[in-house]
Amino acid sequence: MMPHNHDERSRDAGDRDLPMEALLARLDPEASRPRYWKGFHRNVMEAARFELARRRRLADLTVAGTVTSWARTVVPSAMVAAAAAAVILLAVPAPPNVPVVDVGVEEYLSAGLEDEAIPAEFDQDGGSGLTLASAEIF
Amino acid sequence: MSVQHEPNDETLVRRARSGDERAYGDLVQRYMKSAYAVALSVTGRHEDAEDAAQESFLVALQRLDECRNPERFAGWLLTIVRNRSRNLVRRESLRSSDPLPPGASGRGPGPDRETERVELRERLQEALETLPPVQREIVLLHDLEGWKHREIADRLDLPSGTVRSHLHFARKALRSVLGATLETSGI
Repeated sequence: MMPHNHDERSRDAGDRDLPMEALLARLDPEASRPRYWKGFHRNVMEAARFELARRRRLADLTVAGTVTSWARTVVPSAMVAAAAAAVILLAVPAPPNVPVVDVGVEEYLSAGLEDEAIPAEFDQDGGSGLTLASAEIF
Repeated sequence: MSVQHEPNDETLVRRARSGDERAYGDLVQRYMKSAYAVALSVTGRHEDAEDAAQESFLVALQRLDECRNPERFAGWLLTIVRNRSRNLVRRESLRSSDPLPPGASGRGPGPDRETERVELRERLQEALETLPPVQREIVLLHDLEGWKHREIADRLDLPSGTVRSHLHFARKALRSVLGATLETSGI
């Protein structure tokens, strides 16, 4: 009789006891009942049907269910927010047209300043002024 | 020609955890005979071994998330089989303290060949019962199921040398008990 799980070549070649193997093969239920193992397999699968179905449901919950529950919360919220934004945009009147004036960067930065942008004391030419200021502090 | 590799235990266990019927079916197919052999080594009776092995597969599925090393599924499953078989034997011994007389293990008298076969099975099982449990399990896994020393060692968590030693002593003991049977059975 063929061994159960391995073909002849995959067995321990150096440590086989063929008469013992042949004798113990009588304990294989299929030796006296044809297709015994097919029936065994079928019985186990039948008994496992509900547990397998439960696991499939759980797996669906963990992947698709998470996405669905996430979408169930986020999608309506996003739609409400979008509708509110649309209402606000439509309700607020458009601002009056302001004439566009081209200005340079320096002009833009110094616009509205009354004094000179760089005080005379910190000017490169008046280095002594800075020393004087330090002396006064200490 | 393309060579298709069978998925390993780890892959099958992970898929079976998600309820993959085919993956679980492959695991059952791969280990049902080993599970039966281990159950038989503990119970010593075909009917009990069958029940214990089938129950064990269901228990293993229910507890599959507790299998921390899916690549070592076989060893984990066989531990379940061993425990279920011991529980079954304990329950049986509580139910009835009278052992069945030889030849009364199920079927009635049949044709001569069938009677001989049943008797031989009983002698074999009686001989196996004289062995320590670990030797019984090892000799069945090696000589009936065709597992290698290395596989048995790995799955029973034993050193390979210990497995060889147990196998040697198990065969020797079986030969001394079954000497006449080995000669008269024409093997």
